[in-house]
Amino acid sequence: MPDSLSSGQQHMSLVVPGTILTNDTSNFMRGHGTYLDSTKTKLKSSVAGCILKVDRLLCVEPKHMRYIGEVGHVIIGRILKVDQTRWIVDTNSRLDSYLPLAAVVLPGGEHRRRIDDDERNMRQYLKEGDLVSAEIQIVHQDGTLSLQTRNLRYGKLSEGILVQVKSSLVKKTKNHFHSLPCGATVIRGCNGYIWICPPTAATASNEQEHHTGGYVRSIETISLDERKTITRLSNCIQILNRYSIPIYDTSIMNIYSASLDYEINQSIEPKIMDILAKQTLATQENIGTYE
Amino acid sequence: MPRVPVASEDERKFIVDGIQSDFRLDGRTSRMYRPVLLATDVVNTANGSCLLKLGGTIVMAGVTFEFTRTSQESPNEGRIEATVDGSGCHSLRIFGRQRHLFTKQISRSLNYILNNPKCFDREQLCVVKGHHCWLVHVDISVLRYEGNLYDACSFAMKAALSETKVPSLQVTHDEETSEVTVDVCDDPFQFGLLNVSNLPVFISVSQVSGIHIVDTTLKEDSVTLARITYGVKDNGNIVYMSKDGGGSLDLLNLRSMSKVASDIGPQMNSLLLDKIHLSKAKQPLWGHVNENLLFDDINFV
Repeated sequence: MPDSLSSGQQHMSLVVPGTILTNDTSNFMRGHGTYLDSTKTKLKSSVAGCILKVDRLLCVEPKHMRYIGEVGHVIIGRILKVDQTRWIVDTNSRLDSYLPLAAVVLPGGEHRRRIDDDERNMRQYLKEGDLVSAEIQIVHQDGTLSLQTRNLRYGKLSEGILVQVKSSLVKKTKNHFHSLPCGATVIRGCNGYIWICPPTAATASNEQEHHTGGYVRSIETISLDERKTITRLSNCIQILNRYSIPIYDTSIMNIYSASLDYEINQSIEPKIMDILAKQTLATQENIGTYE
Repeated sequence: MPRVPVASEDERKFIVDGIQSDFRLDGRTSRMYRPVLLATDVVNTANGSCLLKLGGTIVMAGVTFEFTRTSQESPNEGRIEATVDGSGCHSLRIFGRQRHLFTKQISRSLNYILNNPKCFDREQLCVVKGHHCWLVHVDISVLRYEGNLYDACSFAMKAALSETKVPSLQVTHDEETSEVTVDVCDDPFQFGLLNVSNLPVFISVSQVSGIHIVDTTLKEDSVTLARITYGVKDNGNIVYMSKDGGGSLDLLNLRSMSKVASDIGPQMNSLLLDKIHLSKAKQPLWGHVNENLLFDDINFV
């Protein structure tokens, strides 16, 4: 994809598989994404990505990779299966993740031991194909993730658009739930799944009463204006992903305001995408928020 | 039509509501295609080739020639066959036999229009009547799948065939011994071109809750119940039709779907033709070999 936009310094540290990282094998340690070649005199990269140097340790961080979870990350997942006492969730990581029944708040917010009836009713809460926002509770030894939705901020997601981006682009910040001034709510999952939906009371205020965990389905239809905003945002985030621009609230708003000059269906045309990406990068550099 | 769970119930409702208000997931109206980008002559070893992007769907078509004997049934016609291969594609989320069946269905449709004399003149592939002819392979590989593979494959095939260089041959006929000798011309810059002006393109029209849309993406496929793929010529005539998906259609729907296809068919045909001309003009700029250029959209038209 178009890399011509990234600055010169980044170009230097980008490597492809087989690139010689160093000839000096005695002074550098072999990290992730690197290997010693057969002559044992050269350290080479085994993936395409950025070089990461920590003292003597040499690593290569791949540009496209599966999500590697960390405790506390906000993520979005899709239910794959309903198991005996847990849901199996796709979170774009190497292995399937789990959402145990004990780690969700039951509708109504009751706190009690889960009984057989709850296990039988699991499919009523979440079924195959449903989307959930959750937090990572435990990262197991093999990389499997255990999720939890104990806070009422998390839970089932209703109507909206899911955009899949490179997980490395989602900037980790304090808050991953944004209710943007343009009139939409964006949840940036650290695993590269981004959820855009109409503004809800749940994220607009911090009052707990408004949170339902998503299990209460609203019957209101989304107005065309809201739909247009959501669609524009989804197209904009896809442009950010394509041009490898970090995704966080400021960059989303920057590209959104830049895209207002064009029709929504124009923003899927490559030429317009190019213009929008360049404009966004320019504004970011002016403000000095681009890293 | 692959049916993979890509959307939850609420997401599906969102998609259907959008289609009903003529505002789809990426802002298109019901009769809009995603942007088509193509680059021709991208493979060194093929006689004609094309890389085509239809939104996120990327396919590559290559045309190669093989010298063979004519068949008994049609002594003055050459042979042509298309194959679609999706085995190297990660985003085509169908596995095993189903994937093979899915791509085979497309290649069967392509072969159908290629072997229709009103669409493609196979006599131009004959070298010596009753003796030798060309066997043309059109190999299409799916590089990325984001919906509407039928249309993308047919666009790529038409673009690749229109750009194909037919090796020129010298046929000498010896009157006394009645022996025919065929020699390949030494000059690599001497070649013929195929006539593909009649070749139709596929236009897939899907029905979602009573509304007919074209060029569905993967997510829209999850709410599509029935789809008809039409082969439409540049004058709007329909020469091929095949139904996909489990939903039923009545005559009224069929009629309006054909109307949509024959309206859009000529538009897509002329768009494709323009793009092929532009791409041919661009070819000498970058010539062969530089595959890296394919990663940049600037090199596409």
